[in-house]
This record gives sequence, structure tokens and C-alpha cells, in this order.
Amino acid sequence: MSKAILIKDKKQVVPEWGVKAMIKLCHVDKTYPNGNIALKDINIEIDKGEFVFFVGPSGAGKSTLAKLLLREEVPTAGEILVNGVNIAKLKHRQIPYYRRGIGVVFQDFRLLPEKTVYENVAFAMQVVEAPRREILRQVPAVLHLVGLSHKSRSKPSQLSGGEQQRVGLARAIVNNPPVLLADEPTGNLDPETSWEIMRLLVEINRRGTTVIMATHARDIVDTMKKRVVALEGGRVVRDEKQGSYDCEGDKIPGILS
Amino acid sequence: MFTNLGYFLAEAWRDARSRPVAVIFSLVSITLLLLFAAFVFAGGEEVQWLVAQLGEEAAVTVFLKEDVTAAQAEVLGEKLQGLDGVTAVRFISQEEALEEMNIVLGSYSAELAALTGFNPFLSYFEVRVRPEQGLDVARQAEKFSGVDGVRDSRQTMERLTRLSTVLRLGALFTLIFVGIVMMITISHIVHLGLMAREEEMEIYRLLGAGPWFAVMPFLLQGSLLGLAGGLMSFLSALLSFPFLFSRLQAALPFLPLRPGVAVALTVSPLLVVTGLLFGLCGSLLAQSHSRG
Repeated sequence: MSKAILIKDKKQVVPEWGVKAMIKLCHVDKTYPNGNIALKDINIEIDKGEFVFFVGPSGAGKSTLAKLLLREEVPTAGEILVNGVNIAKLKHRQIPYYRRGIGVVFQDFRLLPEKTVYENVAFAMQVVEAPRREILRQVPAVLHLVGLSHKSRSKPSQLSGGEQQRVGLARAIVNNPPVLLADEPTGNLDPETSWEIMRLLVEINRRGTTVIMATHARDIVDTMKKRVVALEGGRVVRDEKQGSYDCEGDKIPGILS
Repeated sequence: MFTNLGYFLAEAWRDARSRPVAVIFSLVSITLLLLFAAFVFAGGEEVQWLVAQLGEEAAVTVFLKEDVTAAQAEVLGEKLQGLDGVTAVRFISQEEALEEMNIVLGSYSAELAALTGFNPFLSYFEVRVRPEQGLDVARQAEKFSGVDGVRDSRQTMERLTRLSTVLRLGALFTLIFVGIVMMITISHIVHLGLMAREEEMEIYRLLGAGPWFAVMPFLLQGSLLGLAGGLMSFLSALLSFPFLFSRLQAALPFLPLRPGVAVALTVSPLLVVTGLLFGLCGSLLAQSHSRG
């Protein structure tokens, strides 16, 4: 389980993605330098191919958790093991290699405004120094998957919010990452467009990618019937296999389906 | 890294195009700075050339007193020929000396013509020597009777060598000065680019870009800016030096100056390498500031 591979040179040990039980958080605490306790004693295990929602009110610790998984932050205590490798102990030069195993989707899309749709997606492959031939093969395929082949020459400013997020999604999966981390991907979208994005996320998950999504979208969580990890005050208050946004007893009749 | 060279170049170009005025001003500043350095180096090169020319023509000129007869001059010539280190001796009479000066001065010889009836030159021996023995020959020749004075070209050469050293040192300091100013200029322009694309860099980072991916276009941009400045200053030198050196040669017809094109070609590698090197240093400086 605790397998690791060597990338570039023997000193750069990064986790090998692609085996079972890929992410494990053990007694993770995160306290920011200003004293703000963001996470307290988090214990979560995420298997390969799972679809997990992180839900909770603002300030519950969802974003901090995402930052920890992306190795933007390191835990104050505890361990985050990705296939047995404690990512907090990765050296600075190893972090980019680790991140290449995680596709990221942002709430505000974060596309490069001066690049076309095609370039925005291809750029994610250039970052990882993919061969040109591979880029020419993979980018059109991914744009086809998200239904944007006909917009490949458009600039982000010429696209709707939903289309922009689909570009973001294409960019996140173009390198075939084993994990997709989506931070409020439907936060800026109308319900209909949000469902388009969710359908794509489900399709991506069906193809074997582990999807971790932080969200406030109650209706989406409730309809999807996927694993739900609820956070509150920096603690995991609920972890359900086929959960809903709220605890069954907390549901307000008439508001939720 | 080379997989993305095309991408890095395209990004460097895209960034430069996004603020053309700043880039053009930087390029002009760099060109002028390097051209200034080129002038100083050209001076040093020219003096060095003179020293080399004079070294090849190492000679001691032995001037005779006015009352020395032809027979006495002949004896003196034989004595000089017998000195150690002397390779050839040639007698130049007063008339020949005047004639030679007429040739050297060219159009200015009209002024000499005004001195009609009076030849100010002394007859002399031009004594070719092995350069390392020139001073000894001069010292011995001074002691011969009938000798009015001796001029050793080594003294001139030594002075010129000293001047050349001073000019070269000056050029080195100029180069350091120019390099620092260039570095600051390029660092500033690259830093502006890095700041303008801070958000973009953050995306690069989150997508798993290595530390050099984001900065490589800027390193290339700074280096290419320096290189372009170097090439432009070389081009300017190539165009201006022939004109300037021909004017200088006209003003100093008795000095064997090198043609301007040759001098420009000599200093060109220096301009290009300096441009490239300090351009790269400027980019690295901007990048280190950004990291901070």
C-alpha cells in the first residue's frame, strides 16, 4: 500500500497514484499563525475511484482541507498520507510533481484570459512538459468530452459561465489525474449549468478518477447520493457512504427534496 | 525544459507585446549604453593597434648635427651597423626628410611649402632594431660624436602601452557600470511583467508547474532584450565607426589607424555577450525579487 515511485531522480520520492486507499488523513490539525483553528483531529480515508462531497457552512474548514490536499498548506499536527507518503514531508522541489496527480477545478474558473479555450487546456499539459504530439492528441479529445470542440478558438470572455467551468474541468482532467479536487465548482453557476458540470464530474468519476468536491449546493449533494463528509467548526461531524447535505433529522420539510 | 522552448518564446513575445512602449524604451536605453561602452573599447583597441604597429616597426632614429659631413656620416653609419641588435641602417638626408614629411602630411604639406627656402629637418639614420634591444642601441648611439640626439620609438610605445592599459581599465569599469545599469533596467521591466502576471503564476503553481516554468519566459525575455540591445549597438557601431574613424584618420594622418569597420567587428562580440549576459542577470534579479 505504501508504494512510492522515483521521479526524475532518486531524491525525488513522490506518491504513486493509482493504488487503492489513496488518501488518508490521520489526526490532522491545522491552526493558522493568527491562532485560528481551521481543522481539529480530522480522520478521513478516501479510496481510489470514490466520489466524496465535503460539505459544511463557511469557515467549517473545507477550503483548508482542499489546501492541505493540494499541499498549499501543511498540517500543524497529524499526517496526510497519499499512498503511504506523508505529503507534509515533501521537499519544495517535489511538490509540483505531487500536484500533477491532482486536477483542480476552481469556483472562479481561473482561466487565462488571453489564451483561447484550446490554449487554456493545452497549457496544463505544457506545464507538465508533455510532448507536443501528446498535446495535439489529448486536448481535442478532452474538449470533445466536455462538449466544447466548437469553441476551441474562443477566448474565455466569449464564453458563458458554464462553458468557462467546462474549460476549467477540461484543463483539470487533460493530464488524466487520479484525483480531481473541485472547490465549489458550481458556486458561480445557475442550477441548470451546475447540473451540466455535475454530469461531467460523474462521467469523469465513472472513468476511474477519484473526485473530491467541496460544495454548498444542497440539492446536488442530496440528489447525487454519494459519500458526504460534513465539517463544522473544523471537525468532521458526519461521514456517510450515501449521504445528504444535512443530517436526516436536520432537514427542513419543503425546502429539500 | 527544451520541450517547451517554443511555448516559452511565444510567452516572452506575448508579454513584450503587451507593453511595447516600455520594452522599446528599455531596448533603446540598452543600445545606447552598450554603444557608449563600444566607444570606450574602440579607443582601447585603437591604441593597442598602434602599439602593435609600432612594435613591428621598432626603430631608433639617430639625428645628426648640422655640421656633420658626408664622410663623417658614412663612418657613423658603419658604427651603428656594428652595434648589437641592429638589423638595418638607412641614411635620410635633410632633403629626404622634408620629402617624407610632405608625403605623410599630404594636403597639409602646403603649409610646409610656405617655409620655402628653409628646411627645418635634420638628416638622420633610421636604425632598425630588435625590439628588446632598442633601448641599448639608443643609449650607445647617443655617445657617438656627431650625434645631435636619439629618439627611441620604445619610449613612445611604452607611453602608448600605458595609455592602452588605462583605456582598457576604463573600458572595464565602463562595462561594469553599463552592465549594472542594464541589469537594473532589464530587472525593472521583467519585474513589471512578473507582477502583472502574479495571478497567472499562482495558477501555474497549482497545476503542478515546476519552479522554472513560470519564470522561464521572463528569463528568455530579459536575455533576448539584452541580446537585441547588443546586436543593435553593434549595428550602430558598424554604421557610425567608419564615418568617425575616417574623420579621425583625416585629422591624424600620421597615425596608422585601423578602419572603423574592423574596429566595430572587433568590439561586436563583446557587445553581444555583454547584452546577453547582463540581460540574463537582470531577469534573474527580477525573479529573485519576485520570490521574496
